[in-house]
Amino acid sequence: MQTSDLDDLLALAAMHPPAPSPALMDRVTADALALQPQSLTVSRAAVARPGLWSRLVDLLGGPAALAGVTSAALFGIALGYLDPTTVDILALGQGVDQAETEAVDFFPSVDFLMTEG
Amino acid sequence: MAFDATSEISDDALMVLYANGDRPAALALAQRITPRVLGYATRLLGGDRAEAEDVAQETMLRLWRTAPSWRQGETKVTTWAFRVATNLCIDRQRSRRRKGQVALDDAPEPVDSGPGAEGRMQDGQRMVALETALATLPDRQRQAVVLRHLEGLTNPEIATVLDIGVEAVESLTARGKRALAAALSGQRDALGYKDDRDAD
Repeated sequence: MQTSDLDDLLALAAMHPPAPSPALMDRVTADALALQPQSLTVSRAAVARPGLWSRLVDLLGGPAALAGVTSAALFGIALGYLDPTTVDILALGQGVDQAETEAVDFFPSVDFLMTEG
Repeated sequence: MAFDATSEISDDALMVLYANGDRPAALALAQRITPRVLGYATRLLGGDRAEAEDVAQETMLRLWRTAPSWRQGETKVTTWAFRVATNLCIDRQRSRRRKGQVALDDAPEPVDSGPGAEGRMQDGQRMVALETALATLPDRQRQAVVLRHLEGLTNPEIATVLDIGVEAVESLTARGKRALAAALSGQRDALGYKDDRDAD
């Protein structure tokens, strides 16, 4: 066979490759979809903006830090309102063992606060 | 992405889209690559259609598994697929030889290529003769000839598929063509080439 005849024959064969059967294409497609990684779509719920309270808590350092700050604030307020005459009792224990000290009034009356200014 | 929109996208990009969960990319890749791998495997396996389909499916299966780690621009998808198919065909040929089953008798289906029945019959005879002649070639020559002249790969691409140098590819295709011509030398008239030339 001459070279040109062989080239013609090869060109003819190249133009007519064996066609895959529908069954093969079905199997290949099924494999492709079964092995395909899931789409990396991001849902709106996953990126929802946190609320004001959550952002405030995060700003202060989280729930534990917020609890500490709150406790300190409450203690500070309470300390500010304590009757100054009772501070010595708490700090030094003075008067606790005296017979006349039957009751200690930690919080001052409104009149006391008014007179103190 | 719509399936129609994938026609302009490269195989490389389709691999990335597939790995990102794009369903039309999966369908497009299957329709592009499978026929080429099947044609190649059919010719390497001497026309054994059932085995060629198994090779094509296994090659595509490996392609899907490779997709998530596919590196764009490193290798062409078709080159990668032909390389995998080559190795799978070699394994099957070795297995057949061990079992003493050489399927040179498996003639391919006649090809429907022309408008007239006579033309179709003659083309079918030519295809059978070519498949039979290809089956007589040594494996490497057959792989090189099929990749070069039937699948249209360049010599560097064939070198990548067969893991050899470009010069070796040139040598294999040249020797393969000479061997094919020799194998078909006694059939020129029977295949109608004399008549075609006279008609011109």
